[in-house]
Amino acid sequence: MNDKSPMMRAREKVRVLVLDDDELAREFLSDILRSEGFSVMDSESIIGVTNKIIREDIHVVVLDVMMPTIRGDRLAALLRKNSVLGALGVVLVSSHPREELDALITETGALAVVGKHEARLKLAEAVMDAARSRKATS
Amino acid sequence: VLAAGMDDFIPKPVDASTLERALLHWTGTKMPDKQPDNDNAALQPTAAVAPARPSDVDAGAQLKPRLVEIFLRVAPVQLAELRAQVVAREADAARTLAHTLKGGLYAVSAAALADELEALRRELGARTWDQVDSRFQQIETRFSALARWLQLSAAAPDPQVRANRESA
Repeated sequence: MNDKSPMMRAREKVRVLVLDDDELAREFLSDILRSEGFSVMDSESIIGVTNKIIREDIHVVVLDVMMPTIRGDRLAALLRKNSVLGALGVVLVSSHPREELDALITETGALAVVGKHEARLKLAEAVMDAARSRKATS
Repeated sequence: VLAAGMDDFIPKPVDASTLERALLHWTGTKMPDKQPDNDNAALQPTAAVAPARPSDVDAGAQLKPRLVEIFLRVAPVQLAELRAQVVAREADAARTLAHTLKGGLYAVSAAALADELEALRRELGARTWDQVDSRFQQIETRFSALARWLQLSAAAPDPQVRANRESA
């Protein structure tokens, strides 16, 4: 008997990659998304991430804004320009305060930006929205 | 010795309680208020009592054992690195570390302490070192209380934390 709600069944089909160099933040975000029913993979480095997205048929990438090798918002812009990955859903997460997040949203256009302080409440919804918008554009 | 880059120094002959205090300090935990009467007492295991929740932890927090385990392993190291950068007056490096540590505090539902790290980050940006030193001292004290509570809670979670863990 399958007692999962339609919402949880829909989320199970969404494959999410969490990319964060910080182990604690990566586990925190992955844990939230797993608890909300998503299929979650994670990576601590951008090395090989393009191949992983293609190989694992990732629908949405959750990126930390502050990474040592490249800022998440710049990586998001590069993914958007990629002819194969242009339709990928992208959600940025950050520990910056709300006013700085708002400025980031303005800079990056339509990308979703979720503060880590509000991740438990808003991350799942942002990922689902990104997955829907990906379907609409692909 | 400290100027050469050491964080602390214990002279010989080593006293067991001094060594324990230094280890507890640098692992982000706090010395019990009452000193043990002798060396044997210091080796007694801590009684598994439910500790009082620090005010820095959100009411109704749903703590995940895996996140607590990573926090207790990673965050004290980050705090020590932050301290070193504050002492060295390396504002940019300290700001980056404060930002990382702040993000980790959300994982253990310590939003109030995360707010303090944000205030520290701003003061580092303004290079107001007197304020930075004062706030960092407060952060260290509160962090120690938080880490101690998380450690004790892992052994003997209070009823609310236990209930939240079981329902999570």
